[in-house]
Amino acid sequence: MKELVVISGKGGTGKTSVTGALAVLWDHAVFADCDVDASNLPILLNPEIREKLPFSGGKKAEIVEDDCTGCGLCESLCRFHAISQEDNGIYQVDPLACEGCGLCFRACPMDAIQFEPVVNGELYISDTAWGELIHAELYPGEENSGKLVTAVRQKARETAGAKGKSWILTDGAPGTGCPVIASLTGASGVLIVTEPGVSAIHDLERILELTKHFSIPAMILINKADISPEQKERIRDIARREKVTVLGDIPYHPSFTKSQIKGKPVTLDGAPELYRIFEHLKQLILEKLA
Amino acid sequence: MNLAIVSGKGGTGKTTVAVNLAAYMSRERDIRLLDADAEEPNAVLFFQADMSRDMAVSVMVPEILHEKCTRCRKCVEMCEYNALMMTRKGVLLSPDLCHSCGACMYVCPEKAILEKFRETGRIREYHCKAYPRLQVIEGDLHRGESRVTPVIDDVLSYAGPCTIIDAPPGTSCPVVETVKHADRVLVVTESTPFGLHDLKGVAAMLRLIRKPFQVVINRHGQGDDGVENWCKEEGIPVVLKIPFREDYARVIAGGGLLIEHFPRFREDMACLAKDLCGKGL
Ligand code: SF4
Ligand code: SF4
Ligand code: SF4
Ligand code: SF4
Repeated sequence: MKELVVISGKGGTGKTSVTGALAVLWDHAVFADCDVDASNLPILLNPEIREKLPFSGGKKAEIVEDDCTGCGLCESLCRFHAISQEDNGIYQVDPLACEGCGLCFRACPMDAIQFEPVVNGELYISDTAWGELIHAELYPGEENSGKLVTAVRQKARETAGAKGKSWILTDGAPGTGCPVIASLTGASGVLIVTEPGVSAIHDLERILELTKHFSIPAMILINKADISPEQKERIRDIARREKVTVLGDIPYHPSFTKSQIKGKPVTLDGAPELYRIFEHLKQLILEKLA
Repeated sequence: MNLAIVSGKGGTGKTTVAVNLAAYMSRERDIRLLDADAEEPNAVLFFQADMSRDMAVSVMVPEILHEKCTRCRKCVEMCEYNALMMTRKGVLLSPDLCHSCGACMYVCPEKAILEKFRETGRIREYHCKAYPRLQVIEGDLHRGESRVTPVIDDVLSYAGPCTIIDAPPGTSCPVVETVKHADRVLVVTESTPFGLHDLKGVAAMLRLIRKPFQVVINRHGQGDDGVENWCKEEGIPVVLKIPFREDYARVIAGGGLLIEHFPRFREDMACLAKDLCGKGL
């Protein structure tokens, strides 16, 4: 089983549009959307949710009012300032600030604190016209997106294994932090979607450090390639320096936005020249990861 | 005034709005632009800026005094993040998993745990030649580090009387941390189905923490009316629509400021500044 992860740094470079476009062309694949903060691949692949699983990223503390004597020990111990005294003298935990370390729970002399797993997201197994899609949604304001990303990839592997699929095509998490590390460790290859602009190039350099650090073969795709010839040349220079292949260019094309509005991947009914570009791209990736 | 500029995700033009608004407003007053997008700070790329300070961000991690440790395992069992492991050589720490909660130190019966500093990022301060009244402060998380919140907290401690914050993307805890203390929140989005979906996510988060917000639509005219219609239904004010223009895209790509090239955009920033100042700047 092989896994291609599409990432882009901060996003906005067309990562999800590219993943969606490739999904239509990819045979024998299970798809995964690791952008659990803002999962957009389902907008293109129109999944029908088959199964919903609750996700728990950790525990949280809660003070049982009746048992608390108001000694204040928990407040003084909590390093995340999650516990405070209300006007009526009762102590309370702010669930958004609690990092679930359990210290207050262990320390409370009255055993007045509960420390239980909380559900902070949902994981979905869905059917699309091209194969199963595993996606998820983290509830607003919750942390642990890294753990949820790991759960999505785990589920994608299980599903691919059970269905005898040979590929997982993953829309990676944005950024260069914990969620994206969770979305690319152990992948067979990473496709970095970038665009010729100072911000995207800055992100690209950071991502390349990551892929190097984890020794994952990386490939670069330049989207909106015609926006700035000078910046495009800079991407090529970086690629040469880092010995990473640039697989090709995609021109800026209104077809991407039009397909998005229709809720379809661009290779389904977008401009024919884009279809040819993605066909070619798929061949190059298959050769690279063979 | 403390203005946070957020977006459901990156690439919507959040930084474009932040840098242009900060530069524009700094012509009349001292402005601090805080780049809290510490995983990928990009704001300073839009200025010719000189770094004036460069400081470490550190967190506390436990240090095990092996000669005192009796291997009772209490600390290992206590750690909710699996940052401690009992090995043949004694208790071993995986520093990147540690949340600096101090629980292990608290439970150790032998007082065999101390704490030491570990650097996880940098805070840099910049001054811009062309905008003498603008100060840019960026947080930069070291590569491979996962805990961004301490860096963001440090950046936010630089808030001054008039502050514009380029928030991290997403809707999870780093963003909550950033907008919690803001007086005003602007959400930058795009008029596409992706933009609408991300806007809904960020709106849910902002409502959860009870922060009123306004919307800026970027690349307007390229997509559909979904975002505008939704804002109308929900009674969310749209304070600015930035048209999609290829000449804008080109200037942004080259790291230029739109206010320096396009009078129309300068006027947009003037309107936005007036709107913000009129209400308590
Ligand atoms: S430590 Fe326990 S008893 Fe003391 S204030 Fe906290 S919850 Fe109440
Ligand atoms: S579990 Fe930890 S973070 Fe949560 S309230 Fe208790 S001490 Fe604070
Ligand atoms: S400080 Fe907290 S997170 Fe770090 S090792 Fe100790 S118990 Fe674990
Ligand atoms: S709690 Fe203290 S004594 Fe026990 S294993 Fe940990 S460091 Fe050693």
